[in-house]
Amino acid sequence: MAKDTIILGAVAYLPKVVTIWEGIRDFFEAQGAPLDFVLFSNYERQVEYLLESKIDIAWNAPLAHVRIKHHTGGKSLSLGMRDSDRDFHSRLIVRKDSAIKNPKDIEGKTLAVGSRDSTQAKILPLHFLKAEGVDLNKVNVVSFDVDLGKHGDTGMSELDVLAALHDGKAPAGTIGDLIWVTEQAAGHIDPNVVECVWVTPGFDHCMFDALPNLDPQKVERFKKALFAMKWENASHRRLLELEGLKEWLPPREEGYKSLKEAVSDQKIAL
Amino acid sequence: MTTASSTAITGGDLTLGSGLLAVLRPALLLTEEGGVVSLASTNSSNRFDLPRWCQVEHHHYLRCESQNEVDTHFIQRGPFPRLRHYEVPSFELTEFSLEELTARTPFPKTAQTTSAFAPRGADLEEGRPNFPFSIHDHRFAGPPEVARLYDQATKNQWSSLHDIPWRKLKPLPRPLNLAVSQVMTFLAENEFSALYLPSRFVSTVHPYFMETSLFLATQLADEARHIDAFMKRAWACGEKPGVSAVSTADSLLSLLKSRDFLEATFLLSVLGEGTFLDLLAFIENHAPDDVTAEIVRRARQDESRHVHFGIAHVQHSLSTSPSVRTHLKASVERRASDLANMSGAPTMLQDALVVLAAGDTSPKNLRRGHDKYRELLDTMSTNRIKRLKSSGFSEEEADYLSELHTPNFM
Repeated sequence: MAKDTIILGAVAYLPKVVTIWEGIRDFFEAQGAPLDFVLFSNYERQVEYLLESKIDIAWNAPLAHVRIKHHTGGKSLSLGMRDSDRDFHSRLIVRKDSAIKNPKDIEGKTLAVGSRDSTQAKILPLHFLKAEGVDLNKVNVVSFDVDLGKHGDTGMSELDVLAALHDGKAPAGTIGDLIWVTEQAAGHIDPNVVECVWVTPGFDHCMFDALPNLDPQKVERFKKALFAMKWENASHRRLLELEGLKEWLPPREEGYKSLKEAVSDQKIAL
Repeated sequence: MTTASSTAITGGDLTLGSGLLAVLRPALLLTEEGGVVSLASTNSSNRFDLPRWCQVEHHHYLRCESQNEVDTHFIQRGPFPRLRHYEVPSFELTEFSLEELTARTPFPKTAQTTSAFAPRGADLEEGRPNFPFSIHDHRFAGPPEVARLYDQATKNQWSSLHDIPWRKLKPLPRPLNLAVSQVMTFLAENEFSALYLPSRFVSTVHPYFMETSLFLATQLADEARHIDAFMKRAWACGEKPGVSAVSTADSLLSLLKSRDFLEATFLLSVLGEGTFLDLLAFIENHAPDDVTAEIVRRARQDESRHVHFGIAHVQHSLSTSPSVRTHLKASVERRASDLANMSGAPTMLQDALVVLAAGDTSPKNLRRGHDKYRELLDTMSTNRIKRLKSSGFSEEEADYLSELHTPNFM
């Protein structure tokens, strides 16, 4: 294996991840930026491997990105993100028969939330609810801890939250807006039973992370190839659609500010 | 709703999850790339849901204007080229026959494997997988008149259970009983090849040539019905099925080795089933009972449709791609070489046909029956040459190819 090959880490949260990265690998090769990928079963191992320079770049969900920033004293390199990673929101979904009309109304009630490592289904919605004045000590928070290590990427815990609401097991729950709109569009939400009553402020999602000492040529080759993927090209579009974006965008850090505060406030180990 | 660059729709108080998309998605689909759909909505949850949905679906959410508790959302259609691999103007059907539909939406010259199972005329989203169809050129996919043959086939379907007067069967003298059973066994055995061989090619025909796929489906149903009826007749009068000859098995194996759809159609339908038409007419003429006569009469009607298709298909391919002439001739030569040791029809079949034509086993009538059998062979040869000429071969080629055809008939 040539030493100029970029080794990229990604978490295999669904089988399509193999298809996506094999496609991107071939595309990068054609762009003169040889790339290979290593699939991890969880973000913790991926973060560890990046910090030990066993991989060059990690495709990180937000909590993993915040960890990398933390362990590098903010010096890690952010290389790019999806257009769809920007301005994510979480939703407070309630049963229509629950009489919950705003966040404060969940006090004294059960709140179904996603996995404890899910940014969009637990960490940030709880953070924003607290900022909204909700006393979380008065809320019975029930967490659906599934697919731990995958940081909510599979969406399974959010589906569990929605099922709990539909089944009447909880009057309220929090999920990300991606699952909210895609489940509605798929006809899986009963609009007679549940509704959204509150939307969190925006935050950003995934990021390509690298250590500050990564070979600058690799960094340049990676960015050049990444941003050469175009929606207008049908073969690129197939990969972009699988990965859920229309356009790769430059990084921005301000979208992770709320998550950094939440991690600190909730004492989540970094 | 229009295809102009600006379309206005009303969504009332509907949300993404309660039916709004059933009006929004079609509006966006019918709008040209870059066109704007304005959606009037009284449900404020759409202020949050629509921008996110647009992002997921790669449309541009432009803005929301609110007035008198009505939000108007402006959505620009995303950059999806509206691909049409097949352009045809809209029309209204009057006859509802496949022939009419085919006339209005003619076969394309070629079909792309990425249209997958999409029917001809459907708009195709981009970024599609390749499907493993090997027949995507109109020259080899079947003649346009296959639509008319399909219409005929669907009109003339029959049932061995309801359309054959089984109750009229009466006991026959043993020699005739044995002869009928042997003939039915031979017919069924050969019809298996006519069921199995075309079935191999149905999945290779590009769905843009659906007329051919659909026709082949009727052909398979025909063959299944024939096997069903032949075998019931074979068992009906207390006899077991007759003998299956090695030469028949050899001949049908060489037929199964056909390498492509055109070759298979030529060997099976033009030469094999064509020859069978004369055999079936012979059996009908000399049938010892009405049931046998009715079965082969109905089978012959179906077979003549298959033969018609075969001749039209070969004729269409030869006229549009002259180089297939050599290929088709080579296929007959290959089969003749496989069967070089075969000298005539299986002896047990010959004997059974002679007895049927004789009507009994008296020497006088057997002589007459044998004469009839020899006449049958001449008729088969004459008609085979005619069919080869109708398919586009010269007189000389037709004589040569007919001579090489398997003595097993099919």
